[in-house]
Amino acid sequence: MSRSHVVIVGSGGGGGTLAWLLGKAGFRVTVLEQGPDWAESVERDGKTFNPAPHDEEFYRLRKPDPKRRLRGAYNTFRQTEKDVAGPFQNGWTGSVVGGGSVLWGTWSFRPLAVDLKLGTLFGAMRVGEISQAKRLQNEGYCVPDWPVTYEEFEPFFNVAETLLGVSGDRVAVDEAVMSAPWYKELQQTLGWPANGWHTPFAYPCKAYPRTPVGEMVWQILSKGGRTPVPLPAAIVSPGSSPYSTREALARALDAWGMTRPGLWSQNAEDLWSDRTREACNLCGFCGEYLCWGREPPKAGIQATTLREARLDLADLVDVRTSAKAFEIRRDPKTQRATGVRYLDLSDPDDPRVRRVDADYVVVSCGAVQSARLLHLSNIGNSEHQLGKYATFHLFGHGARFTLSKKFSGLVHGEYGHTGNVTCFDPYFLRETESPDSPWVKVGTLTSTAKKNPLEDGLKTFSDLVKKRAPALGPALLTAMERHSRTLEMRLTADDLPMEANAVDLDPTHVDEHGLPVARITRNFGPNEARLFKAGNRELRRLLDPFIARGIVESDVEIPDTAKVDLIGDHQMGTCRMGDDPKTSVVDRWCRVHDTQNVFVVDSSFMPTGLGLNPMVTVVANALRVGTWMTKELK
Amino acid sequence: MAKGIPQDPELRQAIEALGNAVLPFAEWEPKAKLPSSVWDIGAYDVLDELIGDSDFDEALIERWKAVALKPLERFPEPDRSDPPQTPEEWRTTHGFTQPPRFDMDAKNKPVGRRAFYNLYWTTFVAAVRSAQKGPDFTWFAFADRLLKETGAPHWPAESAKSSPFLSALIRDISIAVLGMKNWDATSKPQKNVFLQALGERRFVGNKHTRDDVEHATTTFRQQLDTEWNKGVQP
Repeated sequence: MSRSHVVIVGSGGGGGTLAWLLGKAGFRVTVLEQGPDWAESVERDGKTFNPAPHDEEFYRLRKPDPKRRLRGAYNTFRQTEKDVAGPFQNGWTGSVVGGGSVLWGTWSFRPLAVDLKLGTLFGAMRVGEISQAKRLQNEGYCVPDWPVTYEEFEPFFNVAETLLGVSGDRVAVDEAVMSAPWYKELQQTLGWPANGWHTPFAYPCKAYPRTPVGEMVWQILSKGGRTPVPLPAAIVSPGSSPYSTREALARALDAWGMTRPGLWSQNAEDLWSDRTREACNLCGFCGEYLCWGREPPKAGIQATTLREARLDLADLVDVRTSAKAFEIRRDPKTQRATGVRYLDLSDPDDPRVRRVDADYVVVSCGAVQSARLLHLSNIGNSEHQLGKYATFHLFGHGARFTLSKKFSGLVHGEYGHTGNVTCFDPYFLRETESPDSPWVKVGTLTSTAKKNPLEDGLKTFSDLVKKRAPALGPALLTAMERHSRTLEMRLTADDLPMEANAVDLDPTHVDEHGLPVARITRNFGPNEARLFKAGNRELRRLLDPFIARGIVESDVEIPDTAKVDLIGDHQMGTCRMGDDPKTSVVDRWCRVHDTQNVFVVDSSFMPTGLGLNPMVTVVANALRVGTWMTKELK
Repeated sequence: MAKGIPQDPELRQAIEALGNAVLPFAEWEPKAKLPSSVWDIGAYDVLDELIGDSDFDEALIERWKAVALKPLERFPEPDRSDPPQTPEEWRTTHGFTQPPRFDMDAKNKPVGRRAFYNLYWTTFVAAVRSAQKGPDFTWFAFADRLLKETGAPHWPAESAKSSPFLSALIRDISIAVLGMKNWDATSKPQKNVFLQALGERRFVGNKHTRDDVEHATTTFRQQLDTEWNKGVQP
């Protein structure tokens, strides 16, 4: 048993960031991470480029324990409440030091102001005689405004982008948003500011160079009348000088002004070390892979805030690996948490129960597992809101297409990270082709290189077998060759929150330690059906001219829907933030309403899912909450 | 690293011949500087190591089997400040009335690679021997029949089905030959030749410069402009 001021469960974008901030403010912090520290072995080589993580079989195919299937833990899934849930391998985030930030694809969107006010927006948009909000309500959705405004978040977004080292072109992004058809119309009808949504703070790194895959999508979008921009990405742009977080942080603090709260009143030199991160060498092993070296170009929490905490605040911040939390202790008399019990899985055949006592408990283990831990601990569910309104984004929606053989050897999908070029025009699309039809919120459309020759080679074989097509010999080789000419435009879209989409405890299935596993219930509703139709129409419209010219082969894959059970690392909701305890789980400072010394700082808190990679928002929110904690809890 | 394929010359010969039929480098156009056989680029060693790399999985599966029999056996003991409580009592007090079950992958019946193949090797060698006695034997046709479950009488009907075996073997040969496993065995100079023939440039150890990307993007753009300017095809 040990005692801390704060015990944090999970070391990713929320927990790892908060650990640094609290340590910096003098709190004694214990971080419990259920997985190992993968970066440690790679870092031993110092600054030298270490391609040890270049192992597609290990990272992409095997999905190794403990990343996806931590020591006998699994989830169950069902589509509706009437179904019996069955074992399910998806729904995990990275179970390693740094969490999902170690394995993410670096896509670094911050939300637009309107994203935090969707309740108001849908209330003002009409569908015939009623508002969109009313229609959505009738269909089972519950889409509130966030209780915190974009303006309150803004300085923390700036700092978050600084800590992550985001490369991008802010002017281009702002112009792309404000030139989009939906923006022009909604600005007029809803009275948005005449001067638009300018973001004064520039991205800390210059934009990542355009790759051939990005160029292809850039041309598709341009010729289709859309406005492509470089994808903001948390990776030090190739050819740059080593990235100094401290220097970038100084600019973010300047932008904040002279009335900065708490420890942000310090200078950048007092907040951050002189460590740097090296420029990307375009090795191409990013999404789902650990980045190479001691000072890696790709931002993972283990390489940024948690690294600072472990190296400079070691007497205050204690990171324990192979530590799987299973219970938050709560004193029924005081209604306060007293600590966390966890299994020390250093030897998985001989797990040991341990306990950390603490004044405050922070939960940050992904929206599925955070809800599970709170359910297991009987915390946060006084008003039966815990686990509800889960959103997971609409993965698998987009277009996958192959260029003609004239492009053999020219696509170079191996360069850089997975994305490259994006656009905001489909943030909202018309429901039908009629120019008067209502807007439906969709998302961003981003180029995606098909990077995994091994994974796709094997998929080629299994697809041929499924289709009962010739699957062996020259037929297999010819089918595999197409991969190098195949790319995607991925529509990362926003599934709106419904009460029925939820995470609770499975009534029968238990994990290896006998504890109930998380049960995920998830289905699409009418809004997603409208979204799929609108998105597919846009994708067809963009690609048709290229098919007509023989540039893109005609067998374009545009699925009718996303995959309802494709639940990956984007997990939002389940511990909804709100001012009313009857309709939310945590308050505006992410404190659990019914147990005020428990906080939730991963993407569980998000009242709506944004339709964007949540990492920037999660880091910014952890900074926001941590700033309040350092002020209020001393 | 442990070896996974039994040291049997007849088995090795059969695996190699099957691999050449499934991925026939010699018959493929364009031949693109490929060696005549998939095995000329060190793939057998990788396959052997891949199958041998099963200790972790097999230990995990053994543990799962034990847990499935007694799902609450490893339940954490109560905190010493709490009243004593059995796992069954914990479930009851938390509203779980149904008996617990642990079957995280019952549908797929998880099995380690080495144990999986050990179920099949003997049958496979015997089936090859039997089939080769026929006048029209070809490896391609033999593989095709195993994939389509039409291997009888060479593949005995009472044996485990042949298609899972063949699919797994093709999958693992592909892993070995595609060179995306970062093991020493893949460090032979020719490890990337198959990827190159497929038009891939994503190799273990890659690094590039901004100039490389800009040059490639310009080249791509020129080709795209050329094709676009040709107009709509009739």
